[in-house]
Amino acid sequence: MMHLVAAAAAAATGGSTDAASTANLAAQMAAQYKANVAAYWAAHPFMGFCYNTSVGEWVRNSAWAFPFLQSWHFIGMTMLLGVVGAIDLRVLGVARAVPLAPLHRFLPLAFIGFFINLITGICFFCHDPRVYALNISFRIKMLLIIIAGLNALWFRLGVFLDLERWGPGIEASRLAKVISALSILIWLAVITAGRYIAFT
Amino acid sequence: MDHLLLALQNSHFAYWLAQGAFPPIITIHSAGMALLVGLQGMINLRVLGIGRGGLPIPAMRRFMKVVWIGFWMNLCSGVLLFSIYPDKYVHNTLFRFKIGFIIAGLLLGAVLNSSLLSVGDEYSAAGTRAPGRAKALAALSLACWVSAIVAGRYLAYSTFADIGAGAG
Repeated sequence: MMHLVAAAAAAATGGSTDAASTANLAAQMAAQYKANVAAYWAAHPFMGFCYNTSVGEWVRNSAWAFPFLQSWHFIGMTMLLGVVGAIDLRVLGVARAVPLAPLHRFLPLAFIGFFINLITGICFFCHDPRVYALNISFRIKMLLIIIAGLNALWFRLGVFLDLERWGPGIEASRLAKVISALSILIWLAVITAGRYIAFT
Repeated sequence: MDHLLLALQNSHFAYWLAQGAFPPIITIHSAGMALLVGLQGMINLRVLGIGRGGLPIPAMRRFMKVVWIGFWMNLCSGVLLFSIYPDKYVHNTLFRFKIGFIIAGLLLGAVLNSSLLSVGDEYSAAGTRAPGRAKALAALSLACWVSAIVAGRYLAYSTFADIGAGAG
């Protein structure tokens, strides 16, 4: 990008060979470009609103907001994955001695974990909405969470009524196993996409 | 020799390795954490009495093999993470706290599993209450694992600020 700006700057100075003035103009154009981008996103109704919230300001200005929020984000993830993972693994045949209906009653804990992560996730988003909105890993992660939700809905509508029958040692149905295997894969993909946000 | 190591550490290869290998390793570390702490947490919560109706403790303990899978994932990925920047960890107090919490969590889990909860059929009925000492160990173990997570998160910001482990 920068060499294009430099080339444009050189062209604007009439192909001047004066390196100092070319570099100066290039720096000015780059600064103007950044200001334009900032103005564009500040004017965006939703991004601008998120950016200007007090939460966004707090995360941007506090040195310890990020590790504090990330600690909760990881605790929430562990609660969600612990409960959903235990149910899915039992459906797939791990720890078959565990009766499924009472295990499934841990689900409120997974919802608490999800809401901890929703709230801390909104805090992350508000700290720099533009960076997240344009980040491909973030977009994939959001899409995967929606897919995981739909998959959980499929479990609720498709096999929830069978849970009472799957007591200690009783194998779950093939449909339940397919949904549970998908669930584990999707949640692992959510973790992967989340970890890659910082690297894309 | 030091010269050579310094040259290697500052090389494009080392930079590429740190940038390229870091994301997959921390991904494995996070997934292992979810398995390890998530399932150990479920077992501990059952010992503490949550979900007592219908869940026998010995059945819940079958999840321990998944906890160990998570543990080995995190030991292996943790050793790799350590080896990327060893000097940044060896003198770091947060790192020492994290390792301390992990060792304490493992010991408490081992004591809980090998003594208090493996006394034959005593706890096999679905609605049984665990003894008070087992509950205390389960609560302490849970606190250790959560503390290990928190120490790990703060650790990331005290050592990896330079390579942008920031947003996540």
